[in-house]
This record gives sequence, C-alpha cells and structure tokens, in this order.
Amino acid sequence: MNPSSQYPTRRIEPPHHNHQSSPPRVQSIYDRPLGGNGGTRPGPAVSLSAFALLYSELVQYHQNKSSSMNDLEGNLERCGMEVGTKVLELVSFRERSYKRETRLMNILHHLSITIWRYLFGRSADSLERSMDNDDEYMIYDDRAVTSSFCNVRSVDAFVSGIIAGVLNASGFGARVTAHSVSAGGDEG
Amino acid sequence: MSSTYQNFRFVIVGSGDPLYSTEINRGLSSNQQSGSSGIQGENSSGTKEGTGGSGSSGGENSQSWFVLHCSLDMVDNISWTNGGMFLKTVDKMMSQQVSAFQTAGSIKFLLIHSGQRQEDSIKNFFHDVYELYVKHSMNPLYKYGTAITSKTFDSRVRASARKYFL
Repeated sequence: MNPSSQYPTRRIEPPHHNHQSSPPRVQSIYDRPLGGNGGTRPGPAVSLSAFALLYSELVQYHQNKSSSMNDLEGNLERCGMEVGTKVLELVSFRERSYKRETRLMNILHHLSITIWRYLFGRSADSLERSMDNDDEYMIYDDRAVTSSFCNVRSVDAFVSGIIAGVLNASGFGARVTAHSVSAGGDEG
Repeated sequence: MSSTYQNFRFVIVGSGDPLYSTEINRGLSSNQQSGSSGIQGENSSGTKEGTGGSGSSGGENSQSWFVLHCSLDMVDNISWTNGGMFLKTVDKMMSQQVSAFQTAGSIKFLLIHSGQRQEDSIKNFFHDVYELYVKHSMNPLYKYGTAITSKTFDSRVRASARKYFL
C-alpha cells in the first residue's frame, strides 16, 4: 500500500535565510482586527453549555469565598461591572459612529437593545419606567442566560453588574438589582 | 522659539490619575526626535529639562500639565452637550491648544499641541489611539481605569503620532 496516496502530504521546510530579511514580525493583539463594520455581522457565538460551565464555576468559587447571599451577590456584581465597562467600549467601537450617549433614555435603550443583543444574542424583552419612582427603570428579560440552569435568582447579580458597569462608565450613576417576577417573566 | 518646533503631549485620563502619557518633540532638524513616556514620573523629569538646550521646551513641559488639568473641567462641561466622541479644541492657553476625545466609557484622550494643526489629522490620530485602547482593554486581566503599561501600546501610539503629526 502506498502510504502517500491516502492523505495529502505536506512538506515542512525550514525557513529560508538566503537573503537578508527583516526579523519575523510578532503578531500582537494590536494587529488583529477588532471586528465591526457597522456591527451588523454577528460575531462568533459561544455555546450556551460552555458559558454555563464557566459561569457555574465562577459562582461556585464566589460561593465558597463569601459568607452570605449578599456577599455572593456583591462579588458577582463586581465581576459583572468589569465586563460591563469593556463590553460598552467594544460595542461602541464596533458601531464606528464615534458617538456617545449623553441622555439617560438613550443609554438605557442602547443597553437593552444593542448591548443585550451582543451579549445574549437577542434584545431585552422590554424597558419600562417605574410608576412609583421617577428615577427607577426596569429591563425585562424572560430567559436570563445566567440563571438558565439554576433555580436561585441571585446569580443574576452578574447581569446587574454588567448593567451597572455600562451605566457607570457612561457617567450615569446607577444602582442595579436583579429581581424575579412571577408568571414567567424575569427582571434583570 | 523656532517656528518648526512642535511639541505634543498626549495624555489618557480616566477618573483619577493619568493612565498613560507620552510626549513627542519635533526638533529643529527632522532627524531629531525625542520622546519620553511614563505615567507619574514625567512630572519630575519634565521640570528638570528647564536647563536644557531648548529652554522653551522646559517651560512648556511643566506648563502643559497645568494646562491639562484646567482643560479637564472644560472637557467635562462639553462632554454632556456634545454627543460625539471627538470634542475638538476645548481650551486655548497662550500658544498651546488642547484637543480632546472622550470614549464611550468616559476615558478622555487629551492632546496638547502648540501651533496650528489640521483638525483632521488630530481626529485620525484619536481614532487610531481609540482602536489601540479598545484592543488593549480587551485584555481580561486589565482593570478598567488603571495605568496602561504595555510597551507595545506605547510604541504604537508614538508611531501613530509620528504618522499624523510629523
């Protein structure tokens, strides 16, 4: 049997040093494109199970570290805040419009539609203003990714952290909490 | 001061201390290019240059930090009315102008320059640095709002400055 006929062979050759060439250019992160061109093209998606595995590890790590539910929520929220600020920068950069949001409704809208779509693949179900308080707003998300495999809702504090990170980085101070609403709806 | 002497100071500011700072000097001859980068240490090195050959550069160095701090107030005021990222020239003091750029995450890029500069080249420089900054901040180990110490970032920013300003 001829071994070379089954699979295409590839010859690996040592690099040529015949001529004076410049040293090989090191590929750094600054060389790779950041993606964008309007943000219409969806980026590479991460599987839900991979995310759920990683996220469950994160929650367990913080659960072991913290002594109470409040502690756990606080830790998850802090993790989310870092993610929120960077996601805001990335999504705004990819839009290529070089514009910032200076009005509260605009940033909330941007959050619940564009950033939500970037993070979770779909926009938030609704954005509402509370009747009781003037400065209270609610973003509804029926199927929150972070609690899709977990019964306890407090793990959604991560998403609260993301929202708080986005708002704080834009210059709007915010306090964000996660609640669950019965009849199938969740509040993030 | 010769008319060909151009001095640029570029600073990235978050909510606290500067995250990054660099200086590009264009001397009388086109070959002479010096620059120093650092974050906090530049204050001390800047004032020492007062006795150097180009005496005007020493005065401008320490002066430029004052100008920068003053212009931060102007940037804050303008940033709430101007919805774009490029804030153009926010402050003029004596011979120096300050141009500013604010990212979506409220990180401000400030450029102090003396002499006239095309707004387009400044805007393109800011766009370049914005891309570099976003790429740098994608590092999960980089905490938002802390100093930028990457040497590659530094050399890219300076290369971009040379491309647009020299």
